[in-house]
Amino acid sequence: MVKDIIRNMRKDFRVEFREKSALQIAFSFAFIATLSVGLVMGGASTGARERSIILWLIMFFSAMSGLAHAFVREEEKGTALLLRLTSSPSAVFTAKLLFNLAFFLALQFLITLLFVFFVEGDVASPFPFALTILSGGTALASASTILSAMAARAGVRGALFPVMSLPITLPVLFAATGATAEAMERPGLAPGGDIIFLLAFSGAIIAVSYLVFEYIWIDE
Amino acid sequence: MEQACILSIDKDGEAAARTTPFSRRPYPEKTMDDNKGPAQNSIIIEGASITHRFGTRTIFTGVSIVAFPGGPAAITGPNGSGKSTLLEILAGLRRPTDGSVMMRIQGEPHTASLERFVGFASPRLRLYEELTALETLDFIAQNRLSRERGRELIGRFGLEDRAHSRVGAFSTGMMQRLKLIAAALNDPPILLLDEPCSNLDEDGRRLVFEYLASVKDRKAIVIATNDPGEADFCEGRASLG
Repeated sequence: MVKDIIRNMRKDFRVEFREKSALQIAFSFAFIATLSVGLVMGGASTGARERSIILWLIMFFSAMSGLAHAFVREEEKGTALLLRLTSSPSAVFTAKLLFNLAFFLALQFLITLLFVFFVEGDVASPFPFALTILSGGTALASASTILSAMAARAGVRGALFPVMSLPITLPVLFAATGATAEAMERPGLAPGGDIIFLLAFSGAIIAVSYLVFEYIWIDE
Repeated sequence: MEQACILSIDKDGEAAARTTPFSRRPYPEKTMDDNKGPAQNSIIIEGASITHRFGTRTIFTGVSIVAFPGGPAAITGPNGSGKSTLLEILAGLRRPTDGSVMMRIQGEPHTASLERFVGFASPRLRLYEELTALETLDFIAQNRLSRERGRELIGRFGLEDRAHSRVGAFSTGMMQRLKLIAAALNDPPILLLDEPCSNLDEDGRRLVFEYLASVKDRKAIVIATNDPGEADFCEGRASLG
């Protein structure tokens, strides 16, 4: 199983880095969106809550543009059949989940750096802020992975993905924006309940994903 | 070995066996439950009363099949009769609407996933265009022995000069050779091949038939085809539709 996962991840990284276009589009989107927001705001004074909402909206749409790709590409290019033939469903799902986590955490790193530089210079509690970004990103990536598998199999793909994702990821966005706003404005803040909620959400969604993935993955 | 495959079709409740006797031996009266003899010592794949529908359209009903080593078997039938679908169901790539697929090892039922036991090639199967031929085989290989076998098969199927080329730059014929190598890579006891010679030149066809002839006594081979050459190579034949 572990060998299977490593084999699949190696293949995913190779294919994605050689194909380049999907990675470039996702990183370009994140860069342009953050930069545009920074320029449009032009140093205007806004509250922590508003800045936090803007940050997580950029994150959400970056996730929508980048995370669906892992499964959609397999269906569009017809390679899903080869994956079904060579790997167990749980190995395929784990490899895609880990790939999406690595990819989205890199994307978040870029967005957060740009956001702090262009929009919000000061973060009062950096440690809870970083933890919120990481746990929120994990929750978004976990939910997006199983939803992208469903969207890819449904055939509507690109258009369907954000529509399917919004109701599931709404609690993540609520919790993440609240925790991020607090971390931005309150110094000496200890990591709180929102971070625990985001981690618990990730755990629950991953557990459910393992239960349902085989039914999504194998053709009827 | 007596035969490679028994296929019976029961369409709309009427038993309608459309099998052709094997060239060497007459087709025996035998059911899946009566599957005793030398083949019990190897891996057998059984599909029982398989029915498949796409939406409201019924593709086939009540198909039963048993495949074991001894001689390749062909499934023929007109376009849309469900040959490829049946092969995908046998390979565990598709769930049948009704019926079941089971593997027996040494006569004992084995319900785990089939991927380690089945080699599969089909026109629907696509390879990663961004990987080289060797990287593709390394991805499919289950162990070091399979990786070494990949190097040997790539030479045997005439692709050694293109081993480090990306699959996206391959012609359809070269792609087909690579698919067949991929199917044989892990030395699976069951080979399910959908039109194995499609897009191949004469040399490619010869290589395929040579390979299949060399393994037919130790592998259960089922070929879905309408190609007379492929069907003639098989020792048993059954028709869908």
